[in-house]
Amino acid sequence: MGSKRTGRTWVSAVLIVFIAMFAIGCTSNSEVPAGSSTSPSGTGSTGGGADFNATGFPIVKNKIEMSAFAPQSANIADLNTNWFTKYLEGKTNIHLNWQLVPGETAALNEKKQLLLASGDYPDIFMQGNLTKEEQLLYGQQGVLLPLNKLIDQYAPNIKQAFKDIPYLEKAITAPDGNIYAIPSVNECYHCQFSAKMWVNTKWLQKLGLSAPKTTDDFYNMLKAFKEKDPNGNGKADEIALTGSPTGWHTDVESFIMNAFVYYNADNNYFMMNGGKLGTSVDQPGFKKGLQFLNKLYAEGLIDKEAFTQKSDALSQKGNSPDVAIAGAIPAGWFGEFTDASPTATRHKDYDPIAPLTGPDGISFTPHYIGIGNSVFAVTNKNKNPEAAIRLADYLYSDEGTTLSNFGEEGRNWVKAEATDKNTRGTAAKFKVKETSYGVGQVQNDHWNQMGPGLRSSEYRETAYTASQDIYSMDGLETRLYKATKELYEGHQPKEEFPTDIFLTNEQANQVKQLKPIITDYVKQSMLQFIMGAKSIDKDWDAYVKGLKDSGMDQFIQIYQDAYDKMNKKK
Amino acid sequence: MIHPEQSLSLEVRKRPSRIHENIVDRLYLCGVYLFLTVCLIIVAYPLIYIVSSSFSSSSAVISGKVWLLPVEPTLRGYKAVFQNPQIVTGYSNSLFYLFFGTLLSVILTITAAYPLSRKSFYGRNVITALFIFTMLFNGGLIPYYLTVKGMGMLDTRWAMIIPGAISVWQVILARTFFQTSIPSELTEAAHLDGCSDFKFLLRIVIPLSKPIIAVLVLMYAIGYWNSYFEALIFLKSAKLYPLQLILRNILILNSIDPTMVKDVKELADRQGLKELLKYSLIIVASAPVLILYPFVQQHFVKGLLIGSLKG
Repeated sequence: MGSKRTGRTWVSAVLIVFIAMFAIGCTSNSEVPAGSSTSPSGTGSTGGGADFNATGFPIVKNKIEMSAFAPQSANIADLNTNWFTKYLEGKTNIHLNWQLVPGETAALNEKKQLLLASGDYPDIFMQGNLTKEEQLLYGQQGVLLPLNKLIDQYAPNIKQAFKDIPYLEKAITAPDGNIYAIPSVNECYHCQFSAKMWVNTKWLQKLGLSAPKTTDDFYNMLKAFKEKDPNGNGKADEIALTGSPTGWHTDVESFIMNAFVYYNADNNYFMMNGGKLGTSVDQPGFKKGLQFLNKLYAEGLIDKEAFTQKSDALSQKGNSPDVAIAGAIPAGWFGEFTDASPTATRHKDYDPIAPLTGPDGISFTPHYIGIGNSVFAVTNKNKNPEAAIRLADYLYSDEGTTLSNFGEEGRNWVKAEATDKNTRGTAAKFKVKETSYGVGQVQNDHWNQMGPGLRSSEYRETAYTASQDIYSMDGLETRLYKATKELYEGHQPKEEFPTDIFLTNEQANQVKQLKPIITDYVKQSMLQFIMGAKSIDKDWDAYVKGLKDSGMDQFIQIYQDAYDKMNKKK
Repeated sequence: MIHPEQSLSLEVRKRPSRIHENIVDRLYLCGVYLFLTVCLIIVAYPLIYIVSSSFSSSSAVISGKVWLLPVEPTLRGYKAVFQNPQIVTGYSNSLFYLFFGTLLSVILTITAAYPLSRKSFYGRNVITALFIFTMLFNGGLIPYYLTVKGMGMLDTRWAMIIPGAISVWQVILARTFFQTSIPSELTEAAHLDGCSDFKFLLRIVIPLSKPIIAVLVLMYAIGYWNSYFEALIFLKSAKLYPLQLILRNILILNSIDPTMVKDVKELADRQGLKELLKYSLIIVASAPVLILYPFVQQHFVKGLLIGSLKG
């Protein structure tokens, strides 16, 4: 009897302890971010310390240490012993204690969020992939320091970049007027027009066709591909048009739909008209585009697997043994669907075609422009924010960008000779050496575009050499540059909704709920219309109503408000 | 000594041959074999495909020429795997975590499960309840991280072994096994002969519990070999990374972010790296578990069944 009683008290005692522990656990959990924001930092009060140099190098006279968050990508051997890390330390006198994550976006985001939420974040984020939402949230909590003053005082290269690239400063300034994080600028010209369509030119020649200009031409070309045995093996194994929803703009819809209406799936299907935001996916042009795609699909001109297969399956079709079987494939570059190793030859048969002109004279191409997420931020744990911003500023200089991206002069690159041409076909400044490591090997010479840097289109297109033989692998950049310049530029809409737009936390939360619903609905409906599961004539009105029900109007209003707010300030 | 169960199962196996099989039985048997063959092909084909691909040139693999046997045989993939310093360190780290982690886990699990299986152990129900409580509730990621940080284990090898050293599920499995296969009369008899509890555990319980130990070893070993999340959260130095982190890093090509394209040639290089390493890396990374399995497999089914059926 007695032992049972003690047993019961025992149980209740343990339970009480547990509940107490649980409660403590909960409160301390919710206190973490708040606690970290109040932790003293002495921001700017130290004035950089006695041995800080406002200009010139080293940045600090006596060596200081900074913990830095960064991903280590699969082709860097070790950031601690990396040549550029050592060079940077020698130059600036700042020793970086790397806090590494694997160089894969999902892993990086997970770790970053954990560090920020637990209060165990480093002195700087060298490459934090910080979203606009995170910048605003942790900036206003005080975790990320506002950088405006620091940039103004100590960062001439970053200031110059603001002047040279008109949209840069606007894109990274939060609604409260502060800059909390600095991006890695990489103005990749051909990437901005990456919804390209690659067509098998050999087949065109064989069939006596010229590159299609209108949607009708395109239709006839696909029909000829399918029926006239262009690969000459006597079998009807040709796939006129294929694609994949997972690759870099390998989706079939984007290229074709833009002959009917401006369609940019990466920017929420937004289109602008006189400062007013709207969506492409309820326009009459969109309906016509669906009808055209449906016609192609019904006649078997689009690969049945084009809307479902993964990139691997697409490249198997593109790499078919013996003869080519794929006629037209949309892709950011041909490596998405065919072998791009130096010895490969199949890709030489494929050339991009210009955006098609639809029956109503519409001929757009989606324009993918933006700064994206920022990489570099200084936290309130940093005792030397001035030194940190000067470090980022050095990485924004021509020298810093070149060394961090290409490695050591002499070993990894040499000054260009007079005959060396760049992507634009003019004289280049330096030539990247054929590297000894190559495919399958890892390097330890440079950061491989990790961290902040300034690669403006000017830098990318003029600084380093590129072969003028566009069908060689060294001439790849030239090939894509030329195609973009000659075929795609000018087809972007005159008025565009900016991709870099700050939302308030409340707006961001709403978007987080609405966006997946809307995107799923649009994608699903498009497939149903194209594949014929829904009739475009009969079910169109129901589709438009469904679009409203999924919150499209509210979604547009949120972005319209954010846009108006951004423009009012300027 | 002959295990009574073993001789019994031998007899069971002999029995069908003595009975006359009629046509229906034979047809049925044929059907079963046919079905099993189909199953075998379905299961074995992907494995064979991966092995063949790992020995083929990457251009043959991406053009789909490989379907059963290696095409243009080469060892380049394996050479690249073993030349990659990250993979080599990751591999040795993973083996380290696997060996010491499993050792520690099995010791802890047995020492926790055995007392809990003894009816004479005071308060065992409460303690079991507390164990189970942790199965249902946990503090969440951030408190977990802060606890490990507070114990000074961040960025050390301990972080890979200590926090997940005991799995309550395995403790319950082992406890049930001990309860059903080690009768308390045995304990009493041993005590009468002057055997201490520890000696009893070492000399009698463990030798009698090979099946359950095999199960524990295999399950913990696979767990440690596959552990990815602990490494991601707790480690900051690349030299401590287990193989799984590096595998993911190489095999899952980042979805392409146009703002991050340095030059397209680099994309080609990355794709080449992936194609070259993919299959050989899969083979190399699954080898330890594949090697371990046959050795413990004979005990495996028995150990699992006892744990689950009589639990």
